[in-house]
Amino acid sequence: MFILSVVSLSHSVTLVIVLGALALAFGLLLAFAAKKLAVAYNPLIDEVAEELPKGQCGQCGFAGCQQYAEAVVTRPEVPPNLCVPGGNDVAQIVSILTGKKAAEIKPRKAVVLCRGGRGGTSAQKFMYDGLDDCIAASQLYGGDLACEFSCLGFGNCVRACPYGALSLDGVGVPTVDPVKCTGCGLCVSVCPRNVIALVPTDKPSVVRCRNQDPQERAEQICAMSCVGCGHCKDICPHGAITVKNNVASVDYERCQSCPEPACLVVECKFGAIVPNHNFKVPYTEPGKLNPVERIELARQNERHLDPVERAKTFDEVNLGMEKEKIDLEILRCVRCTIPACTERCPIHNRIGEYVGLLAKGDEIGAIKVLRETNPMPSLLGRVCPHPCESKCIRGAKAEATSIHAIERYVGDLERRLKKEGKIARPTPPAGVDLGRVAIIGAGPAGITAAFDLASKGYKVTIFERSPVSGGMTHLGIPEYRLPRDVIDDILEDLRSLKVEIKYGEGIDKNRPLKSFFEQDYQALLLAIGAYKGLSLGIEGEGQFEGFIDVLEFLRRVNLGDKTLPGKKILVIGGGNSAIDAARTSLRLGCADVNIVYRRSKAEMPANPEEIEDAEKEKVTMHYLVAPVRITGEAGRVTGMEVIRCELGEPDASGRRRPVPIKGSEYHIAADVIIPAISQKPDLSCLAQGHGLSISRWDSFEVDEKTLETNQHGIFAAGDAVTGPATVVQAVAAGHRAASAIDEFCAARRKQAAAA
Amino acid sequence: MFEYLLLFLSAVLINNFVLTRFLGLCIFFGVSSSFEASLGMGVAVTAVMVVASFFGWLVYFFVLTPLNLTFFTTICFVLIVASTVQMVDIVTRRFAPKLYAMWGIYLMLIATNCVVLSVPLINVENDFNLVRSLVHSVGAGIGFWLAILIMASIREKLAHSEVPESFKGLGIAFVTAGLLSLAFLGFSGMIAL
Repeated sequence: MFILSVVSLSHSVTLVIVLGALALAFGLLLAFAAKKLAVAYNPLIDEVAEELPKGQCGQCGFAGCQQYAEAVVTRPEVPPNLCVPGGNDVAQIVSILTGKKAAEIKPRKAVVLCRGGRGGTSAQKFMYDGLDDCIAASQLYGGDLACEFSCLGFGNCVRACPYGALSLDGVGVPTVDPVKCTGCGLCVSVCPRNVIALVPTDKPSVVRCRNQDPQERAEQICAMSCVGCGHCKDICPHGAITVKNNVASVDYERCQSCPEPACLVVECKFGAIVPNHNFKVPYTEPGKLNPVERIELARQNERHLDPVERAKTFDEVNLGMEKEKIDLEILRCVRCTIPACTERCPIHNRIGEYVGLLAKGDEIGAIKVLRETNPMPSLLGRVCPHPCESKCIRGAKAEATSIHAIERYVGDLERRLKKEGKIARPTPPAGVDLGRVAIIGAGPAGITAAFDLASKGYKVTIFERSPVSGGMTHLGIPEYRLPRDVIDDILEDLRSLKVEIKYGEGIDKNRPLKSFFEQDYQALLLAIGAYKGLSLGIEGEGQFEGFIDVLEFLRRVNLGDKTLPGKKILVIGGGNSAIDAARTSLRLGCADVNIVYRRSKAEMPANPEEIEDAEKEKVTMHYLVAPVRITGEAGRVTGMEVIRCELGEPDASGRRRPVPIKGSEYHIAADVIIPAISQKPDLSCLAQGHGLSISRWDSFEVDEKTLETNQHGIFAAGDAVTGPATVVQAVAAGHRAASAIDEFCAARRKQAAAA
Repeated sequence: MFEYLLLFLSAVLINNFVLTRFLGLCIFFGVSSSFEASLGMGVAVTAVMVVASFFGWLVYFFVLTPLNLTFFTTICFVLIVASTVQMVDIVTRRFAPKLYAMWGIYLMLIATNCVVLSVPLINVENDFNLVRSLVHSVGAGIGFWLAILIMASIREKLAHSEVPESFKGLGIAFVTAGLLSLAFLGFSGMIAL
């Protein structure tokens, strides 16, 4: 027993000795190594590390804050602004500590560039049966066909975001919560459509004064106290600065981080609004306008012919802008980071991009950018109702940039350069023959599709029933709005692309659609427009001579018949064709032209510029008057009985419904009545048993994604599908139809190769 | 020679320390959310394991066995591992600053790690000679590396995919690790040791 305990005691002693010895050995070894192998340690490293947020997030690219601190102190090439969560504040401190110059640090946030819903951008989300993944949809169909830059709306980015910063809104386009977004870029990496981007959210200015109490602020002797004068607010073109309780604040959502921010050159006497980065005023070259002067520029006006003189001839009314005015207008565009105009444009013209190139003096580059999306800039610059301008950010506080004038300028410049032979007309790719495609109708939709298909290498034949090309732009739009040499130039381009146009031919009762396929055409595009006037549904309609449908009238004049139809003309309707008919009548020599419209001026669907022009040219407008009965004598129109209306509740279209006032009927005398209410496609050309699916508005029913009708290989686009719409919508449809036809033919080629 | 190869393969695949022995799970789950970090971690673990095995073997056979103190091995090895980590830290900082910057905080994380401790222990329990124990520890390190890289790759994909709310985060990571472990069980019996 005793021996055992002695043994265990001696064992324990050995144990303690061994443990002590081992610990001592290792301790000495470590101490020796630390002494011998010591790296010269800079105390600055700890100082810098102390200032870092210590999140160990690794976004700087180093393994932890200590490593970054060490690197920034010891290695000259490591910049002081790598700490992402620390942002600018930490970068400043580190730069002071290390004596390195801090370039600005811009925290980046994800931004969804596609707003969806319009122009068919993300309306396609439900078209991919069975798919719920953007990447898969993109690989299978190439995604949306009209726009290469569009959200598919399946929400891969939403699922990828580790911070829950993204969510899908009602129209199927993700929205970013800037508070939750850390700028990690995961959403950008999973998006197959390049719709999400990381943009620097560095704001041009911050309000340093946070004191909300005016009393207290007045008492403080504070060098940077905001007095709420609002100079900065007035100068910001985006309305991003607001003044509340006499303190300005910057709305980070609205601020567009202009490349040349105007708010920064505002001298705040109190130092309350300060640039957030190393902004220096010499953005302004000598002889040029500085940002503030640019923001203060008023919208330039286009030159118009004198209203009295112009109403006598068919000369072009709007003469556009001269080079000097265009140069000023270009400066008014602030070139937003997220361009709302491009988003709104049905064909997604990259407006900011070409305006930027123009500002740099690169006119050829601007033409190239514009032509990528727009096959007829000169035409669209004249007749497009420019929905883009309604979205222009400058419109929030001043007037929108005159985008259509710039587009027209670029288009006219291109025409001139082409004529002078300085730039080449488009040609088909050499040695490529992808087969033949037939297009019915040489309107904007058909011509656009022909452009796209011919430049891909298809042999395109356009069949046009009337003797001229241009469709509604030629037969409907009068010469004073669109000179014919603009259309001729487009035809010249088509000729250079080897597109064949067969006039006087088309589909008719004796030429069934199938016969085209027998003639070796692979696909057929029906772009026949909407030419049949809707009937008024009132008594006396069409019974008397002098009752002429608006398109019939315009067509006759536009094809050269310049005879005056009567002495007093009454046009029914408020759309662009009603105004066109009225103004054309004036030019034919009629002194008394009237327009009857059942709502008020505010509800008129015609372009406001057109209405204004018509009023200037002394067209008499009868607002809030609805037709009741056409009167006639001896087979000739004598006038129309009308009734006064008042505006009631808004209807489905959002416009207020006209309600007739009982007993307010009266008679307007006239010898010509032109109904211009609306049109639908004229389907009388289709042979019996065509088998196409037709909607109740007489338009073709098509697959929303491919524009293919229920017949294999037959596509339809433009007004024939949508009913009367704008030229630019027809161009957009033409683009879409062309890419759908290309896909269709490619699939066929593949099948043939496999067989 | 063939024997060493077998030993190495067995440590990498069959007796993978993470997926078959379930050691080192804290770093396995903690670090495997990012591929880059896993890469650094794997290298650090392997390096420390080899050095610790070397010292452990020396202490076990030249100090503890002659003095009959083998029951004392575990505590001794804790001391050795911690010191080794410190040692590696000092040495790499001096001689390989690039490697040191890459390891960063991960080196200190393994100072008290079970997988690093277990490898020297298993070496001496099986009476491996010095070369065998070094080969075994290199294999163990590479096995750990393999496991954590596979896991990190899967978890980076998982971050992009739709996981039911209740499984998000560690939940789905454990399920994945379980499946990986099942897959590695398939190696058992491939080499009879």
